[in-house]
Amino acid sequence: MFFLRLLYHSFRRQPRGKLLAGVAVTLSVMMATVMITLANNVEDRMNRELRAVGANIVVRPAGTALDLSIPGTALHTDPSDPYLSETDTLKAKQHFWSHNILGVTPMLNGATRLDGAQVPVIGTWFSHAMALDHETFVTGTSKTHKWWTVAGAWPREDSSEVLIGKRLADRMSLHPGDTLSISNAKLPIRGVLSTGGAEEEAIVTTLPTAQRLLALPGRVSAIYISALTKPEDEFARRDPQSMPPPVLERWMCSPYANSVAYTIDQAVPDGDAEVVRAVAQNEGAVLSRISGLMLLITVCALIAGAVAVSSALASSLFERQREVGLLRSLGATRSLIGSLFLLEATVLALLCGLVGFAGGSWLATAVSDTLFGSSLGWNPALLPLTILVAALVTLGGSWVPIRRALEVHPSIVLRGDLA
Amino acid sequence: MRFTGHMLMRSLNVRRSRSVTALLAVTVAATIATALLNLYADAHAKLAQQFRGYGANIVLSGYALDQAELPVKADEIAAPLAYIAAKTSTSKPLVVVGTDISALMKINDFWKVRTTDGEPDSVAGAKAYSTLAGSSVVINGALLDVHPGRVVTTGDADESRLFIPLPKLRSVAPLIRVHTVLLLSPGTPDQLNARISELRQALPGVTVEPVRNLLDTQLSVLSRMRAVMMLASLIIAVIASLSLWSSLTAAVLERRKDYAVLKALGASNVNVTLLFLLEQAAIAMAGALVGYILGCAVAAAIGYYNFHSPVYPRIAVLPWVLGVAALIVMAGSIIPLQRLQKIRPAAILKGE
Repeated sequence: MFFLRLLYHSFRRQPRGKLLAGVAVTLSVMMATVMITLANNVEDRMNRELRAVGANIVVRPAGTALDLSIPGTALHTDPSDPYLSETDTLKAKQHFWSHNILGVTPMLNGATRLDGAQVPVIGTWFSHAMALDHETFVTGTSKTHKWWTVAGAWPREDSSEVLIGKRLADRMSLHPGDTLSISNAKLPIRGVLSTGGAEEEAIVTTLPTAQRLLALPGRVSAIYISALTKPEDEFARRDPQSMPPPVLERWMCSPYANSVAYTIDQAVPDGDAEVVRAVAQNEGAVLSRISGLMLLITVCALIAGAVAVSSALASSLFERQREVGLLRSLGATRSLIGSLFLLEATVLALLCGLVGFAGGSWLATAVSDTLFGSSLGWNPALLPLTILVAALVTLGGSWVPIRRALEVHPSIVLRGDLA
Repeated sequence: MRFTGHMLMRSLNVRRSRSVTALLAVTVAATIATALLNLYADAHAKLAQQFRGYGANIVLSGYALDQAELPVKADEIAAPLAYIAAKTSTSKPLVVVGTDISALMKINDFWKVRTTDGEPDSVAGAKAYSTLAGSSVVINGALLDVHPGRVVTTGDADESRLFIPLPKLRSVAPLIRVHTVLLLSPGTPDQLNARISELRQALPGVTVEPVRNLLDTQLSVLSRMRAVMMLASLIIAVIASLSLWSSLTAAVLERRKDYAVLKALGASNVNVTLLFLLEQAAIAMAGALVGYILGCAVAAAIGYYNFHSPVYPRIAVLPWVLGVAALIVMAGSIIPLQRLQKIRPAAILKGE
C-alpha cells in the first residue's frame, strides 16, 4: 500500500521529469508502431505491386502440342489445333484459391488477311464482368496486362471494336475512327495499342469478335492468370507426385505459385496450368530483400528508441538522487527502490505505449494511404506486440540509469555533495 | 583561449561518466543515421539489381540487326535470336532458334535446367525435347543432328523451342537473319530509359523497346520502397534528436553546481554559455565521428546479409551527419541554456 502511494506521489510530484520520459516513450512507441505496422504490411503491399509484372500462371491446351509462334510473324491457325474452351476461364477462377486470383484473361491468337497481308489477330477481355456465384468479378487485360496503354479509347466488351497495334498502325497508317473491313465484318478502330511487345504488330479485339473472325467459336488459345502467391521456398519446389497424402495436403493449402497452378490444372481438365518461371522465381527474391530491409530498419528504430528512453530517464532519475538517499537511509533496500523505479517505468510504458500505439496506427494508416493508395485499417492484433515492445524498450532503457541512481551513497547525496 | 581549452578538457575529463553517457547517445544516433543514409543511397541500386533475375529488360527487333554491330557494354549481356520453322525427321513441326547459348542461359537464369548426356551447347524446351524424342531436325530440307544436352522448363513459349548455336543453324540455313536481340542491362529505371534512347540513336531501323511490365513494376516498387526508407530515416532522426535533447537537459541539471561556482567567481552568462556549447559541440562531433564509422559498418553488414553485396561507405554522408549532429545539439541546447541563465549561484551553492 505504502509502495503504491510512493508510486502515485512520484508521478504527482515530478510531472516535468515524467513528462520528458513520457514523451520519449510515446514517440519511440509511436515510431515503433509505424515501423512494425509498415514492416508487417510492406511485404503484402509489395506483393500486390509486383503483380503488375503480369500473369504468373498460364493455362494452355493440354497435351504435347508445341507453341509454334515466331516473334514478328503471324501465326497460321488451324481449327483442328487444340484449344481451350471459353468456359475454362470460369473454372480457372472458381476453385480453392479463388480469392488469390486477382485476374484471369483469356487470349485467342490467330491471323487474318488485311489488304493482302497476313496480320495477327488477338481476341481478349479488356475489362470483362465475369459472373461468379455471389459476385461479379471484373477481369481482363486491365488486371493481367497493366502495362498496356491505349491512345484513344478501349473497345467496349460486347462490341466489334478493335485496337490496332502501334507498329501496325504506323505501317498501314491507320488511326482511331477508321473502320477496318475484314471478311465482310466492319471493325471500327477505337485506339492504338502500345505494349512494347508482339501485340504492337496485331489487331487486338474483343474475344467474341476474334472468335468470329477466326471461325473459332467458343475457343481460346491460353488463359493468363495473375495469382497472389507466397514466395517460393524449398518446400514449394517439391514434386507433388512424390508426396505422401498428409504432406501433399499441407502443400496444397499453402498459396505457392506451384500449388495454385496445380489446383488450377485439376480444375481445368483440358488445360495444362504452368507457372511462368521468370515471374514466380523472382517475386520471392525481391520480396525477401524488401522485408529483410524493413526488419533491419525496425530494429534500428527500436534501438534508437531505447537510447532515447534511457537518456530521458537518466535525467529524471538524476533529479531524484536525494530521494534515493533518503529512502536508503530510512532503511529501504536497493532492490526495493529499484523495483519502485522499475514499476514507475512500467506504468509509464503502459500509458505511453497506448498513446503511442494509437498515434502510430494513425500515422501508419496515413502513410499507407499516400504510399500504396489503400488504407491498412486498424490492426488490434499488433497492440499486445506494441505494448510488449514498449515495455521492453522502456525497461531496457531504464536499466542503466536505475542502476546508476542506486549506486550513489546516501551520506554523500544527503550532505549535498553531489555534482 | 588557453584557459577555455583547459576548462573544456577538464570538464570533459573530470565528469567522465556523464560525458560518456552523452557521447553514447550521440554515437548511437549518428550510427543509425549514417547506416540509414548509406542504405538510402544504395538500397535503390541494390533493389534494382534484384530485378535482373526477371531476364532481359530490353528487346531489340528488326532485320536491320543482322548487319548491325551491337554496342554492348561490359556489364550487359546480349543474346541474338534467329527463328526458323523446322520439322523433326518424324515430320512434326518445331521452331528452331539460333543463338548464343551461354548468353541466353545467363539472361534466363530462372529457367529450370535438367542436364542430359547430349551436347551441352544445344538446349531444348521440355516440350520440344519430348517432341524431338531423339530424332533429327530437318531445316530447309537439310538434315541436322541435334542431341540437346540441356532440357529447360520455362513456363512460356520457349518451352516449345529448340535452341542451337547460331553458326550451327547457319551451316544448314545460310540465309537466316537475326531478328531479335535480348539485352539484359543492369540499372535503375532511369538508367534503363537513358540506355534505350542511346540504343535507338545508335541503331536506326531497329525497334528498341523496354520489357515494359518489368520496367513499370520496378519503378513502382522502387519508388515506394524509397519513400518507406525516407520515412524510416525521418522517424529515427526524430527519436535520435529526442535522446540528444534529454541528454543535454541532464547535462545542465547535473552540472548546475559547477556553473554556479563559475558564476560566483565572476563568469558572465556569455562565458558560461560558450563553455557549455563548446563542451556539447565537442561531444557531438566526437559522437558523430564514431557514429559515422560504426554506421558505415552497420550499413555494410546489412548490405552483406540482406543483399549479399556490401554497401560501400559514402564520404558524402559524413558532412551531413556532422552538420545535423551539430544542429541538433545547438537547437537542443536552447532550453537547457535558458535554465542555465536562470541559475542563481547563492541558492544552488547553499544546496537548495
